[in-house]
Amino acid sequence: MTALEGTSRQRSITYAAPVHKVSRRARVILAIRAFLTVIVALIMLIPVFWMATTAFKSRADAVAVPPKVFFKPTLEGFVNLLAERSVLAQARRQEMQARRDELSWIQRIALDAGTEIIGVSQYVGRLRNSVIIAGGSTVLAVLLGLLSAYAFSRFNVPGSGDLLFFILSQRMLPAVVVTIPIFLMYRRLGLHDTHIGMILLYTVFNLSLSVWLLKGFIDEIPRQYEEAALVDGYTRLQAFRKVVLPNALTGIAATTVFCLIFAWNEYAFALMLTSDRARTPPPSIPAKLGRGGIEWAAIAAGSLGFLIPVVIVTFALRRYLLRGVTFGAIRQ
Amino acid sequence: MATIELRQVEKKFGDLHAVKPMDLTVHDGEFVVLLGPSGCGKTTTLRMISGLESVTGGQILIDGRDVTWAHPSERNIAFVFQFFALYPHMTAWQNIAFPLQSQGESRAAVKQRVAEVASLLRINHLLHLRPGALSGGDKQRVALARALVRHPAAFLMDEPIGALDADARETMRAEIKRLHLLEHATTVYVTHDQVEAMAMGDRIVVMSEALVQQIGTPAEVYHKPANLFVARFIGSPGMNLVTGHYANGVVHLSENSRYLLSPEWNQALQRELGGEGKVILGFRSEAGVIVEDGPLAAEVFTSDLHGAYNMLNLSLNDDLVHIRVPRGIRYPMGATVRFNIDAEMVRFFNPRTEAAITRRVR
Ligand SMILES: Nc1ncnc2c1ncn2[C@@H]1O[C@H](COP(=O)(O)OP(=O)(O)OP(=O)(O)O)[C@@H](O)[C@H]1O
Ligand SMILES: [Mg+2]
Repeated sequence: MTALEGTSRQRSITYAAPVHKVSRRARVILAIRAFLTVIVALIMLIPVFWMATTAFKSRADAVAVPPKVFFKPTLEGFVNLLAERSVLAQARRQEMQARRDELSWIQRIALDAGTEIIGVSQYVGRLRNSVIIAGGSTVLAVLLGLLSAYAFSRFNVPGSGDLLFFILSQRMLPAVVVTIPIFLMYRRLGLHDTHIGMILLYTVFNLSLSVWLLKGFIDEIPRQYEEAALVDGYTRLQAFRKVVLPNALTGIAATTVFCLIFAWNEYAFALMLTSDRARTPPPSIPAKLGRGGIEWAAIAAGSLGFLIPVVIVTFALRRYLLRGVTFGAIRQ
Repeated sequence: MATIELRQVEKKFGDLHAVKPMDLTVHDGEFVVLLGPSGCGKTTTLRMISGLESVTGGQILIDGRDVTWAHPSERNIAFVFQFFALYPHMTAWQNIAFPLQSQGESRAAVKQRVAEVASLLRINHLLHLRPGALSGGDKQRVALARALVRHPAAFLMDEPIGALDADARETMRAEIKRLHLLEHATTVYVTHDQVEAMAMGDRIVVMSEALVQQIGTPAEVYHKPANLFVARFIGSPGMNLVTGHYANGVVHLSENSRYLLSPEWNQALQRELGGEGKVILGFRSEAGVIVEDGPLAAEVFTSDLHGAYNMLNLSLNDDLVHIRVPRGIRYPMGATVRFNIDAEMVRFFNPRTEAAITRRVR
């Protein structure tokens, strides 16, 4: 039985024990701890809460002083974010009002703000870019990371210590330091403002993380598992797929989430190395600040919407993230 | 089943010799035990036979086929690991079926064969469980089932019961022996426990410091150790060893201890030592016989109760010798006892080469 298994069991006993069986003192301490946890969580959630509410406020409510806690929620911010609109002239506006019932709810919201929807906004394309770039680079980084982590973990790679350090060093320089040389290189190579360029860049950055993280997880998997598979008649690759992979799922999930979060949120490179075709939301949300008055609701809606995919992925993988690495068959 | 032949097989890790060139033939259906203290190269030898470790010299043949460089999966051998190495993400059933699936057996055949070995090992009721939910003994049963399921040419077991607690160990030892007899399976079994080795092996390979010290039946390594290491390592306690001086058909052990040699031994020592010289006399604790006018004298150091017998610990010169005496007999500490050695069970070693001296010349 591993140490991890042991601690998780202990913990579950502490929390799952019926309250009346816990001593008074322990109950008080538990209550204080819970209280403090809630306070800290609340403090940390205030900006998120603020963003979430702002996303559903009308333009006026968003800038109201003092700030409104109670307000009439509207999807105006989202519509502003996702749709391209034009301001309606007085005459046309009245005409539209007249056939309000025929309009879709989206157009009605736009109409209330004195505008008409004329197409999908740029932001939608940017979101799609993010999905392609973050998704592509995450898949690549985890896949390549897994293979090289396995090699570093299991084989005598000559100079593996130096190589691993070199891989890690890829992440040591802050983005601002390397953007200019990369910018110049990408210009030459025609990778500027391309999906493939951004995928490559994020993959390089994430590889250092994924190789190191995954190597740690694979090191934890006893070699005997693969060796057993080898003598049981499998090739090295089959053993990797059937024995190592299933036992590395926890690590793969954790690495995927970390890589995805980095690639999804990356700002500095995206700002410098993309302009339109491959631009992602992080540099374009602030750009909204400039255009004819600050559309706080749209900005908040953009930020909120941008959070959601990462939250979903993390949530989907939580089973693997939370589950301790348990290797039942080997006592250590 | 198959024969396994090692010819001058050797393993070096850089400058470290893990296994010095060794020769060994494991016959069809034989149970050979590799025995030796920690770090002597037992596991490495086993891993070379399985192909998990490449050799740095020599040849390995299975059934006459040179497999020195064959992939582990091509050798048709099964390996049982000390820590079981059951796949934790599979149930016991899946674990056992795994080697069959590599051979592309039909579903029905796999099912039937798994059921067969499961009932052989009496683990039918555990098949739906993951290894994490099994006790140590049951894990090892599943591991054995996984090894058996494919009818391999040979079994390699690396301290398969070393990780079990004492109770389960006894049971599993008997069970492995039974399986061996039932399946008539060529087996190479690694252990550092000499009692286990004596109990299980048809033959024992005693190793120390990367070198094979002796290959022989349990009786041979017990009664005719090839050198001082084997004499000390086998048996509990090990062989009594007393340094003396040989001259004129007599070995002087101390002032009042003179062991008179039989003509054969005299001849052998004469030849080996060239007239006279230092020699080490050895005998098993049960070969010592307390007799009033025995030729050897020693002082009682302590005596231990062993249930069926008493063990008398005597000091002779600077050496401690153990003699088995009947249960009732007690001696006060410091008393002098005289004893003789069963003439058939006395052994001699050359202190310079540490090798046993043999009686007859070829
Ligand atoms: N992969 C390796 N790299 C370097 N040295 C090794 C390696 N494997 C084993 N050795 C060394 O080879 C020697 C023999 O090791 P081996 O594991 O065969 O011993 P053993 O007899 O099985 O011991 P134990 O009873 O402790 O299992 C030891 O000194 C060990 O440190
Ligand atoms: Mg070993």
